[in-house]
Amino acid sequence: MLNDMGFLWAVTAVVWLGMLAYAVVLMRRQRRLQQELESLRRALDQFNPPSR
Amino acid sequence: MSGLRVFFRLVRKDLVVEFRGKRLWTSGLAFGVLLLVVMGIALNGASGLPADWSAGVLWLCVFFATAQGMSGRDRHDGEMGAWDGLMLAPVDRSLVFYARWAALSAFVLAAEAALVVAFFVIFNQPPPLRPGWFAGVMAAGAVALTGVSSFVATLSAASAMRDILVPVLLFPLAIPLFLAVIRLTVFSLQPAWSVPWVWVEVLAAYAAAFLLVPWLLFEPLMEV
Amino acid sequence: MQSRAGWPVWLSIAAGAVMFVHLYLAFVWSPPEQHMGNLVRIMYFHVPSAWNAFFAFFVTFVCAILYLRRRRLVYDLVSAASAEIGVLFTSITLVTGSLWARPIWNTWWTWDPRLTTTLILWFLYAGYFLLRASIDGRERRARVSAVFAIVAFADVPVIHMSVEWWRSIHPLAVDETGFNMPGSMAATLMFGFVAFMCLYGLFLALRVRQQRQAMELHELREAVRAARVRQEGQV
Repeated sequence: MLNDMGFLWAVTAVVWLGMLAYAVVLMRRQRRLQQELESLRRALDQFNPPSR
Repeated sequence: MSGLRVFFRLVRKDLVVEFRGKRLWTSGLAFGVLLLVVMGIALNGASGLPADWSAGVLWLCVFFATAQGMSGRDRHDGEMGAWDGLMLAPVDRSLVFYARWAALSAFVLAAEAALVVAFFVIFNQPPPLRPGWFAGVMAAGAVALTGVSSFVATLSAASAMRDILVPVLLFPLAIPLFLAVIRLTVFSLQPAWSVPWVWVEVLAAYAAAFLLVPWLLFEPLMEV
Repeated sequence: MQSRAGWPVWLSIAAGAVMFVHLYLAFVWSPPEQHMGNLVRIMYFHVPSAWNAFFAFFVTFVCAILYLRRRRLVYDLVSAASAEIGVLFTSITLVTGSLWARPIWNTWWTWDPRLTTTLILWFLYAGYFLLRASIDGRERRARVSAVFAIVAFADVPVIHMSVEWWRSIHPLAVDETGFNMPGSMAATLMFGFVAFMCLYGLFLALRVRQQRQAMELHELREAVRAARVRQEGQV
C-alpha cells in the first residue's frame, strides 16, 4: 500500500511540477519580451521626440 | 485542355524528369538495398527469420528508401520557372499532386520490386505462400506510402530542414499504414487461419484519405 | 497598461485555487476503489490531462481551418499556442499513464493501441513544432502548419476509436452507457476536467498574448531600424 502511495505521489508531482515548470517558462519569456519591448520603445522615443 | 489531359501531361513530365535524373530510383534503391544488407548483418546474417520479423525489416527498408528518395523531390520544379508554369495550369491544383503521386508510385513500385528480390536473396526467405496477396500488398502499400510521403514532401518543401523533416513527419503519419502492410505481408508469407480484414480496411482508409485530403488541402500549400 | 497587467495575476490565482480544490477532491473526498485502492486516484490526473490534450488539439485544428479560410494571423497564433499546451498535456498523460501502468499492469509501457496512438500523437505535434521552427515567413509558416495541423488531428479520433477497433487492455472510463463508476468518483473526474481546463485557458491566454507581443516586438524592431536609417541619412 505504501508503494502504491509512492506512485500516486509521483503522479501528483509530475502534474504539478509539469504545470509549474510551464508557467515559469511562460513567465520568463514574458519578462524577456517585456524588457525588450520597453527598451525598443525607449529607443524609438529617442528618434521621434514626443513633440510629435 | 481537359483535366484528364493535363493530368497525363503532368505524369509524363514527372516521369521524364525522373528518367533524366534517376534520383528516386538510384537513391531509393541503393539506400534500400544497403539498409537491407546492414539489417542482415545486424541480425547476425539471419536466415530463416520468422515472418513477423522479416516483413517488418522489409517494410522498414521500403519506408526509409522512399522517404530518402522523396526529400527534395520538387527542387527541380524551382528551376526555369517550372513551378510558375504549374501554378498557371488551368485546372484544380490538386491535380498536380495526383499526377505526381501517380508518377512517383510507378518509380516506388519499380524500386520496391528490386528491393523485394534483394530481400529474398539476402534474407534467404522461402517464397511467399500466397503470392497474389503478397504482390497486392506490396503494390497497395507502395501506392499509399507514396501518397503520404509526397504529401509530406510538399508540406516540408518550404522548410529549411526538409531533408530531416520528411522522415520525421512521415513516420508518425504513416504508422497505422506501416502496421497494416506488415500484418498483411506476414499473412501472405506464412500459413494463417483467417484474412486480417481489419488491416485491409486500414490500408483502404489510407488510400481514400490521401485521395481526399489533397483535394481539400493542396491549394494553400501551392501558394508562394 | 496597469489594468492589462492585472488579469493574468487574478486568473492565475483562480486557477491555482481550483487546482487545490481538485487536489482535495482527488485525495480526500473521493473514495478508494475496491481493486486498485488508492491507485485509482491517479485517474483524476491522468484522464483529465488526456481529455484536455485532445481538446487543445481540437482548438488547434479548428483554428487551422479558420486560418485557411479567413487568413488572419491571430488564428495561427491561437493554433500554435494551443498545440504547445496540448503537447504539455500529452506529455503529462503519457508519464502519468506509465506511472499508473507500472503498479497495475506491472509494466512501464505496453504496445496497447491506445498507448501507441497517443505516443504517435505526441510525435505528430513535436513534428508540428519542428515544421514551424524551420519555415521562414509568417504567412507561409501559418499556411503550411495549418495544413499539417489539420492532417495530424486525424489521430485524435483514431485514439478514441482504437479501443473499439483493436483489442485493448485500456479500460473505458466513459462509454455510451455513461460513467462506469460511482457518482463521487465521476464528480471528481469531471471537476478535474474543469480544473485542468481552467489551467488550459490561462496558459492559452498568456501564450497568445506573448505571441502578439512578439509580433509587436518585431514591428518595433523594424521601426527602430527604419528610424536609424533615416537619421543617418540626414546626418
